[in-house]
Amino acid sequence: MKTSHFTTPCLLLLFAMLFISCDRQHHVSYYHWKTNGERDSISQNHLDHFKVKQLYTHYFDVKWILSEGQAFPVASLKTDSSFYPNQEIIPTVFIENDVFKHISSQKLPQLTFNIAEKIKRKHIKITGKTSPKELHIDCDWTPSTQKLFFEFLRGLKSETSIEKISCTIRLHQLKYPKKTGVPPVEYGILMCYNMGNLASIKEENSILNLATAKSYFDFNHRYELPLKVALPLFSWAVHFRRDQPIQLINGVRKNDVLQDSNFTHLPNGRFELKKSQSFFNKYLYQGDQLRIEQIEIANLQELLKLVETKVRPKDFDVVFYHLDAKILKHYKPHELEEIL
Amino acid sequence: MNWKKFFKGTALLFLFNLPAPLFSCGYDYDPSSQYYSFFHSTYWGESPYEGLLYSPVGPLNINYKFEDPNIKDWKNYFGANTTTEDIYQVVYKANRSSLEYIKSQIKKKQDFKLTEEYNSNSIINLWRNKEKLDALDYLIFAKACEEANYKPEYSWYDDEETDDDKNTELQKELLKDGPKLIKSRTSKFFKERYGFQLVRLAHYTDDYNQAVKLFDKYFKESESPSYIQLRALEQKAGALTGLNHPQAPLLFAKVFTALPDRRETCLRSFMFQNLEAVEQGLSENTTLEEKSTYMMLRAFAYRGVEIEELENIVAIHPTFSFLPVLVLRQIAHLEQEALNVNNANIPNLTRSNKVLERLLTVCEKLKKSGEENQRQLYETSIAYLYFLNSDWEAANQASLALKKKYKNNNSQTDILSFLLAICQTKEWSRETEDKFYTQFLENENLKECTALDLFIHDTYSKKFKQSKEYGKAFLAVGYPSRLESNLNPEIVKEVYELYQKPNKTSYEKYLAGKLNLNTLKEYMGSTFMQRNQLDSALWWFNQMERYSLSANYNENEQVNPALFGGAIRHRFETPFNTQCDSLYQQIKLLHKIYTKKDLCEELLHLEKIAMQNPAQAALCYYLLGNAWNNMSPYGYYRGVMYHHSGGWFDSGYYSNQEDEQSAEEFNGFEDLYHYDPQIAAQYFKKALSHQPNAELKARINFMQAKTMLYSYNEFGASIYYWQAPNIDYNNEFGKAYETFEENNQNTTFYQEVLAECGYFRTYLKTSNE
Repeated sequence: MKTSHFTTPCLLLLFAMLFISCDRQHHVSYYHWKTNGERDSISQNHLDHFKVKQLYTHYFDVKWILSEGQAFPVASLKTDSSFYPNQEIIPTVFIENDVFKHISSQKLPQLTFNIAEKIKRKHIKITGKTSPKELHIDCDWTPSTQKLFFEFLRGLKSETSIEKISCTIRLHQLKYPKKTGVPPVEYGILMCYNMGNLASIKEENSILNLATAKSYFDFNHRYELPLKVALPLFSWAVHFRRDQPIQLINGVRKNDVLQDSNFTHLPNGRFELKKSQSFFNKYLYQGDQLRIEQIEIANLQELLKLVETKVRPKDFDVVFYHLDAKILKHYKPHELEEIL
Repeated sequence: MNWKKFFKGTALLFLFNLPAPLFSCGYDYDPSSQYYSFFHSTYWGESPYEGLLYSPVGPLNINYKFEDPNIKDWKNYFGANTTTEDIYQVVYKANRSSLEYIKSQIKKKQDFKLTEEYNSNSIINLWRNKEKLDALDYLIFAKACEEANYKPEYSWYDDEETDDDKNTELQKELLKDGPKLIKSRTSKFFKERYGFQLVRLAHYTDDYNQAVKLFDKYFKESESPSYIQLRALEQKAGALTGLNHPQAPLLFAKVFTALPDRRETCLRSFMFQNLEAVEQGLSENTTLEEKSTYMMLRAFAYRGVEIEELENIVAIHPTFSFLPVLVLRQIAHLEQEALNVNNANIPNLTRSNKVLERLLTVCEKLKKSGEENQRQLYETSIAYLYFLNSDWEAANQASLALKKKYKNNNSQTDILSFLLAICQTKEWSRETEDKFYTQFLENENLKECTALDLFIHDTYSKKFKQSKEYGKAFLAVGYPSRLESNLNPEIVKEVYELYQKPNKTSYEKYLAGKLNLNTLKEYMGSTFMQRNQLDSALWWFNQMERYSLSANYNENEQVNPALFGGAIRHRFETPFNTQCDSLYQQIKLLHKIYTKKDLCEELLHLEKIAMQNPAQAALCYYLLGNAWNNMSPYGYYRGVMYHHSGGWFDSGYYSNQEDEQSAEEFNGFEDLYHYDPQIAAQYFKKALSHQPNAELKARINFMQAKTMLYSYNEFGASIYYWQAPNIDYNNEFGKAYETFEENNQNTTFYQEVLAECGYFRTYLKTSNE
């Protein structure tokens, strides 16, 4: 048939386009990283919009307590069974790298047991289920702690009998896998934020700086783990006094200072206080400067393009950090969808 | 909400999130590494100021040690015969069950047996004699309260309900019994203590309203509240925080100023208040003292700005007793900038000169309207501020006026006039050098000022550098032993000459006192040895009374002949002779090598054989190349030639006090002085020119590449094989690999390298791509 000369390629093209467009559809999930589990409509709207199936839920941190000579949980999530019942809750635990610097390999099984048991107890309370399907561990391990951290991950798997364990991958770990090793997990979540030097007055945005990000993606190897990509949505103000960092003020956005006539916008992008006043419940003095670090959608788009130079788009899902109405009210779901 | 936990949690988050620490502990911080503090904080910081003075690492003086007022109260109660240790043992250390056992035995009129340490305790003996039994009852109650309040600070069940409710019954019981016990007591000492326990218990059970009520019921407003009342007030402040009451920070402020032992806790609590709400809540009823104290704490928190709070307070309450604290803290901030040790000129204040002007205005006001007994401080501050601002004329006048007014009663004036004299001296000569140092040594006020001591040596060092007297410049700020890690021939030579110099100035005598002739000779010899000028090196080593290997070389104090061996790779934890070839065994050495002198002789011996015996020349030069390569900073025997106590070379320690240009010009601690890779390279080149056999040639080629790689890494780059494929081979070591690859593929050694050397394999992979 004559028309087939035309229709067949067209159909193929159409299929190909469909496949390509399917390829570009990253599944979306969120981190929940607050100590209270109260639900709100804005967060729910995001979850509904993206049909989010999994919620990486921070259960607790594990910190090395020097005075006790052992590790303990801190900053635990306090919630009950009303916590997002429609999503699969993936227990997430942040372990300070310091823990693996201090702990001996003999005491590692005890720590693994303690963490596994606490996860189980919290998981029953939150979901009513005895065991999660998957666990997620966040730790900024280094070459010196790699061995124990990896041993811990293996131990956790056998202790919990949970088949799927994932962990966070920092950008430096992605760039230098031979130095830091590749963790023995099912997949990693690449943390594409907190990449700059927070304390430096010269830094423009320590959460997300594309120039810094580019330097991290300057490699030629293939990372040996499947990856999801975590993208930042949070903002804060870094408070400087006499060019010295004083504190972080969470949740501050540019509009908060632009709308306050007591701030002068300096050519270097920072905001200087004209007269001493309270701001976001902190007391700031005349002459203090704020560097507002917030994430624009366009920056996320650029960042994703950069990620896609090293990880095939179809190979990764996106995890937004994090599920908090105060943050998400600044990002409409359909705007976020555009970058995916 | 459990506020105790909330505070704990927030404090942790706070500390965790902060880019710079606000609180710090656990080590002694030395501000002199950052700036000179000539304005003696401690000189002015008589009690009650001392603990409030500025510390560069936190809002409070972390080194301040306070006496425990509670122990003092108990001592007054038990009498002079009771020791601090006895009180500590019974009040703090003893547990509830031991005390209950004692009580039950007394009730049964039976004696009781305790462990040895308690038997000799004077308080226990009082109880044996049925004296002061009120204390025993109270302590049992207090220990029970402690148990009821107790939640482990850290637990794997930290947030889980099972623990939270454990002590509820006991808490209820104690809250019921407490008021009865208070009623039954007659002395204020015990009434207040029971009251404190109840307020705290209510606070910790999150019953904030009850805690406030209990405080108001059992404690009356007082001009001079007792220690325990203030502790109870702190609990009330905590309860008010839970109620979001704006008075809470004012109460914390009150306890902060009154109780040195609670300052850190109160300041921490203050910092977590919602200051916006608090400020709206400051009412007309708030007293000037309360407002001033609140502003002072605001200045302490988050590295506040003292000058602004000073202005605020001076405007409303110029006789506020803590104003000197804020003045001293603000001066310390200015010193940090003006007298920074990295400043090329001192003082150098540009950024904060407006702050200085404002502080001058404040001090002028306080000089007139402040407290009479603080005037000397304000007047001295004014003179010192002129100095910080380099306003010499005003500073000189103010300094003279101070001397006249206070005569010998102000050591700060001595320091100031001495500083003014040094900073205004334009022509520097041996005479001025001598004059200032003598003056410094002869005046006790000057000598006691540690910052001045450091400043003098730094200043002298800078002056010596300007006059290109590098040896003296080095000695003024460092000890000769610091040369060990990086021997600069020029400095060593000058230091040696200074030692020999007749008619030294007083300062030169001080510098020469740091030296030891025998060590100097070893340094002199080593500077020649490291440049392969072995005859000169031997001359110096022969002058020594005793000689040795480097102080940090520690391989049984004898160098293994494997020093001459070549290895494809080595690990420092594995003996080198198991990792290197054994070609060195083909040459008989002169003797065992115990000292650098022995080593020099051995190196000369090998060179001699090479020249006299052409058949062995290639081998001897190969061994010499290996020896120099092994003594390089990357070699297994790096400790033989170079001292490196810190594990690496101390190449930049002096440059932190230099601007870049003068650092290059002077410090001389660049890599150049501790490693010249050309020495090894030249020997390998010579070895190749003496027709080595194929296997030896392969080894020489490989060691040449290794030397080039070390050399490349030594001068700024860091090449590691895992960086492939981004390694740039367009350089000397790339060429050396190329030569090795092209010329030696048929040798056994080439195969060994291929199997063992990651660097070479990476090279092959990259060059073949």
